[in-house]
Amino acid sequence: MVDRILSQALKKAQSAEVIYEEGESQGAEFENNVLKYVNNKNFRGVGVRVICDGRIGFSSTTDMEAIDRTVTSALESAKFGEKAQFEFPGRAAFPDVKVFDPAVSDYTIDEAVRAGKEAIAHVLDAYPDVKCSAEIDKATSTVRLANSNGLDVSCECSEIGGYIEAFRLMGESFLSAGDGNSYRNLRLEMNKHADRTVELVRQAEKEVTVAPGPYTVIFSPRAARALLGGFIEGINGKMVQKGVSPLTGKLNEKVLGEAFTMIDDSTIDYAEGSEPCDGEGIPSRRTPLFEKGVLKNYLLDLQTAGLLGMEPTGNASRSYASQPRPGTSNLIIGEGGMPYDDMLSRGGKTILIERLLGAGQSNTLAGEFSGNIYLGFLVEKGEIIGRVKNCMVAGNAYESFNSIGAISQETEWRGALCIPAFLFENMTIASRE
Amino acid sequence: MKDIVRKALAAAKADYVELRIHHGEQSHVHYVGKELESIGESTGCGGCVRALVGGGWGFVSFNDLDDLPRYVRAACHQAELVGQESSALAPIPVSRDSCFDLYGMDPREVSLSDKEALARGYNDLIRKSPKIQTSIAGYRDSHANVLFASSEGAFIEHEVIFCGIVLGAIAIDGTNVQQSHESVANLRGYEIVQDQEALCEEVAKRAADLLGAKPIDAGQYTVIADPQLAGVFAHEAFGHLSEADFLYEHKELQDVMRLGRRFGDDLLSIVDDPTMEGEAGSYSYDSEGTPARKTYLIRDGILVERLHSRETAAKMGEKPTGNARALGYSNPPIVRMSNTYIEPRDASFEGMLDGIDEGVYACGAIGGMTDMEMFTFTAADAFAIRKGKLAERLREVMLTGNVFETLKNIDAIGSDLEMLGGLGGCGKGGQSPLRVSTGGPHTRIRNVVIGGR
Repeated sequence: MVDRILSQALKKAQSAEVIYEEGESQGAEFENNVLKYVNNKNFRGVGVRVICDGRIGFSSTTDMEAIDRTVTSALESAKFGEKAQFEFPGRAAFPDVKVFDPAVSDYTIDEAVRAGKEAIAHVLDAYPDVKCSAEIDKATSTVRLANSNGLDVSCECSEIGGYIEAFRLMGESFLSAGDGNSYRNLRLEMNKHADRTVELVRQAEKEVTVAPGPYTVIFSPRAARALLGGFIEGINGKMVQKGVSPLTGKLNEKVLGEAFTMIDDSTIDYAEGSEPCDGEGIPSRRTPLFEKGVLKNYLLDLQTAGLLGMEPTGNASRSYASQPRPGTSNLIIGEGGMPYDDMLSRGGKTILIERLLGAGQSNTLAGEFSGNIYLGFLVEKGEIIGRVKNCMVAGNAYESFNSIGAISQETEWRGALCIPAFLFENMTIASRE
Repeated sequence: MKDIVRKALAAAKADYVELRIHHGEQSHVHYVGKELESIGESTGCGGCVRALVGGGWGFVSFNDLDDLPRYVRAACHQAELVGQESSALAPIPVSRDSCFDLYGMDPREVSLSDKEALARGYNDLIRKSPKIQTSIAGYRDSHANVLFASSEGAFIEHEVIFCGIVLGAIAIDGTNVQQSHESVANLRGYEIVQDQEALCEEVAKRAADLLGAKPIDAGQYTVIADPQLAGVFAHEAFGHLSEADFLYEHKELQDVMRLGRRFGDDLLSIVDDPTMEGEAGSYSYDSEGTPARKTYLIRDGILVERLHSRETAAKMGEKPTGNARALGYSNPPIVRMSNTYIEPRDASFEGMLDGIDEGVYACGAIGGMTDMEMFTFTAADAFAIRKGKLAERLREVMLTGNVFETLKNIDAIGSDLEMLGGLGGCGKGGQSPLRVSTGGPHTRIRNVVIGGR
């Protein structure tokens, strides 16, 4: 089919590319402590991109009987399309990245159900009054990418993830606390997630009120993700090409604190964002973004690189249903020098943030972050005193990351992100007076 | 197709089975700055089967429509793995119907080149405005044809055409980057995307004006929300808590959310109504085949009803409301809102300003989120209020509150109800964006916490 689409497109187009994706996911979903759903989702779809008279066209479908129409649509849209600033890449050597684990394929729904039940039982042992939701999902898929310049690559991927969350009603106060993760190999850690959930519920047993004002604020690895939104948009070549990234024109300039290093790396075995090549067939690689606060690279796909007169970085992100766009693969944030426990006991009034509500719904492009601290704690002398509520934290990441108080030695993988904890001094906390 | 579906369902071994088959087409145009980032048409088809056995659900989705009986068997088999008790579904009338939801010009009758010209015109207008670094002008329409059939004999063919535009502007001054976005989308046809030049100018001007705005100081303020933000507030602050799937299996929580409990002043009523003609969240039947109807969530300050699926209604002994909605064929229905709004009253804007010593007039919405008890909503634009008068422009205004306190702090509601839908929508349980609309009149809220540096 892929070959047929290519030859059909090439009757009118000078070059063409086909992406075909098919796969299957299975999952077990628990609600209010009991198994509620078992699901099985099969999917397939095809996308066609053409360069016709120098212009780009695209169309996609999930209906294999509509292939001819899809090729026609792609050619039709090329009449309006942007001028192509690239050629489709030919065959290349791809790095050997492990992205498929047969053990994920073999993992059965019965095993998922058992793992979920066990994790919930574990949380209920400690807190019989909570209601747990949990989900374990696995997926396998195959992507084939071929173009008229000789590229024809197939990649089989697997992924499995699980999470558990406990809901606790304390009077009229709601608590939701949980943990989860996902990988490309069978590294399901439901018991670890259950332990972490119990720990968070225990830490939140007591509620304390805090006055508004400046505090030392620690973002746990999980919460620290909310700080990165501005950088992730800022290093996106698309934003640079449009001239709206605050990082435009600042390559090799020191824009953030020396302690901060961030790398995009799609070559890590079994990490969620890993792949042998990107969505256009450019080999995967490791791309430093910030090194000791100095901006090193932007993330680029073919068209954006062409427009900027730069080399692509292998960061074309897409599905069969969309045209490529620069995107991150795995982001690795460099660790710091301070043990996490020392951060907590550094003294002074400290707020530890585990989860923010509303993060990302600000002017993130400018580096702004803001959110309600929906899971956070007051810490004094290394001891968690209690849960804080009805508080907000806000700031600008470009400013805050020029005065990082400390970065933890420990890092955690959270999906496609490997990240430490961050400490900032004198951050304003808003709360009810 | 009908006979194949009937046969497949007839052979099912389950307490209840439903099947949906979707066919759809989309077209879109997306300009960012000088570049036409993406344009074209796409098609899709897919289906799903959901089976209920002993209170447990099995769900199978697929793109290949050739072997429906196999998917029905698989869903029933999965449900058997889950079911441990008895199934409960509130009764609904068995509907055999076909409906077509479009209240204006069919965008499929407009050529792609006309759609491109429309978006290009808006894009140029924004791009050439003062201080604008880049523009966004997008057009999108989607046509969905959904066939719903159940083992109870329901058979509903439902066609919906949703279309709209998104407009955006990014203004820059040195390291100061400010953005502004608006989206208009609903079921009223191609007319709604035409003649939107004024909105383009508004978007561009707001982004430029925000360059001169000052970040708000953290604190607790009296806030007047404009209709757009009041709508997001209604949706986030109370709407999600009204979705019964959150509490139908939690006795203590049901006590907190008991019908008859007072949540606000007499003047506060919040409504969800999918039967409003042509709005972004409108439909005739939900994804379980339940006829849509208007539901009061809060009436005169009192909790009177909540949003249900057939299962949550049965388990709580209440009536189904027609709010079980699925995003697409690869998702099972879950309890969702439709068009949610605060009912208008009679306060004037000047009257609301009167008596505010220090406050914030918060307009438009970047977004909102909730964990059910606490919620945030972010204004797109804002002004200080001082001694009853509008003062300087503010930015980075994210508001937060707690549902049990904030609704009681609403003390004035205007008469100028507006409903707003866009190409974005609501996200829940991994199903996003679901088309919804939100709305309200100008609404005054006391003691709102706002974050800041």
